[in-house]
Amino acid sequence: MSAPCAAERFVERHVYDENFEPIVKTALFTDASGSDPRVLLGCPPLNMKEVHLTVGVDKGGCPATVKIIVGFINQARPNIPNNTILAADCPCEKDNDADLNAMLRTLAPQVITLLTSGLLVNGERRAVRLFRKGEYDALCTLLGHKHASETMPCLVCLRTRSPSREHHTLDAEYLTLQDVTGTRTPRSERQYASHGRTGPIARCNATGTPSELQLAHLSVSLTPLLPAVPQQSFVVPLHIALGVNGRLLSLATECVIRWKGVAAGMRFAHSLAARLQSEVGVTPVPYHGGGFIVRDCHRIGDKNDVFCRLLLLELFEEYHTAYKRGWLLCNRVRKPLNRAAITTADEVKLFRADAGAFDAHLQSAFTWMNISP
Amino acid sequence: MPSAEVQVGLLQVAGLSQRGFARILRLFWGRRIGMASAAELWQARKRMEALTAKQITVDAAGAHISNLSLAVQE
Repeated sequence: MSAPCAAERFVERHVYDENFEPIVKTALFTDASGSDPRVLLGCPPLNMKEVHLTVGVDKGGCPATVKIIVGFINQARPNIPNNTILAADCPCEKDNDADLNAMLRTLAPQVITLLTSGLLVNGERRAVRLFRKGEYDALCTLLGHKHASETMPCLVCLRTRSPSREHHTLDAEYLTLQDVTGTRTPRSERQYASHGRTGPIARCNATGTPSELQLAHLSVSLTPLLPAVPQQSFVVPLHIALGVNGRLLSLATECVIRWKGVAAGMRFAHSLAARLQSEVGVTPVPYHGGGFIVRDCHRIGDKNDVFCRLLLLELFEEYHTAYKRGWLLCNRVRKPLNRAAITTADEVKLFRADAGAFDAHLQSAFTWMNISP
Repeated sequence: MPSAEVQVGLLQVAGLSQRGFARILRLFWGRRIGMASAAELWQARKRMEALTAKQITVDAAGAHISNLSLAVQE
C-alpha cells in the first residue's frame, strides 16, 4: 500500500449506485468503526473511504499447490503477479475443506485484524472492502457451500438448479437457474453464517418435506472460513469463459448424437479433438478434468469456424446456422470478460443484453440443453 | 538517485543479475551518479529480508505470511 502511494500509483476505486454513478465517500475510518459488523465482514458503509482488496484461492502447478493470493485493486494493473501478495502456499492434491481450513486457521485472524485496523493511505485511515475470488469449487469451500451439484448451487442467489417435482415450491418462489428472466432472491451474509451452523442439524432431523429441509440449510453445510458477503464473492471471469466454451464444444457432439446416433457422435468427437489440436492449436491438460486452461478459450472462440465447418458435414444447415450463431453471441459475452477495466453504464447494459440474448438463443435453438451440472 | 533498497527492487523488476549490475557500475562509472555498490546492495537485501512484513511462517498447514496487515500496508 505504501509503495503505490509513494510512487503515486494509487488509483481511487468507487462503489456505484443503481444509476451507475460513483457514491461519494467522505467518512474516514476511526477506532470505533473497527467494531462495526459491516466493517468486520469487509463490507464497510458506502460513505466510508475504503481500499479494495481481494482474497483469492488458486490451485495449480506441478506438484499441485493451493495458494491464497491477496490482491490490491487500487492500482492500474491489479492482476499481474508482481502486484499481488502470496499470502499462503500449501502442497496438496485437492483444494478441499480440510486443506483450506488448515491454511485459513492461521490466516483468518490476520484478515480480521486487517479489517478492524484498516489501512493507511496517504496519511488517512481507510476501511477495507474485501472481495473473495477464485474458482467455483474453492469459493464453495471458502463460503461453506455444498458445491455445484446441490439444489441451490448459486453462491449469490437462491435460485434452484433446474425445475424438479421434488422442489417445485422452491422453483416457484425462487425460480431456477434455467430461467433467464425474473427477479432473483439474493443470499445474505447472515444466511451463510447461520445456515452453516444449523445446516448439519437440519439434515440430521430429517422431518418435513424436501423443500422444508432445503430451506433449513439453503445448501450451506459449514460455517464460512472467512467472513462471507455473497455479493462480494465472484468466480474468476477466465473460468467462466473456459466453462462456457467447454459447454459449447460438447454441445456440438450432443447435436451430432441427437441427429445421427452415438457412433456418429463418437466419430465427430474424435475429429473435433484432432482439429482443436492441429488447426486451433490447443491441447487439453491432464488435470482439471482434461479441459482447456488459460487463454485457450479465447483461441477456441476466435477460431470457432474450424469446428463449425466440421459440424456442417454432419448436420442440416438449419442447426449449423443456429450453432454458429451461438458462437457469435458467446464471443460477444467473452470479450468483456477478457480485460480488467472500469466498465461504463452502457457497457454493463450491453453485456447484460448480450448474455440474455446468448442464453435465450441456446434455450430456443437447443431445447434439450441444460446448463446445470 | 534512488536508495539502495529501491535499486534492489528495480533490479528485480528489470530481471538484471548482480553481476550485470556490477558490470554496468564499472563500465559507466556508476558511483558518480549514485549507483549502489555490490556490498551496499547486499546489505539492503539483508535489511529488507529482516522486515516483519516479509517474514513467513512454515508449519504443517504450509507456508504463510506472518503478518498480513504489515505485508499489505507495505
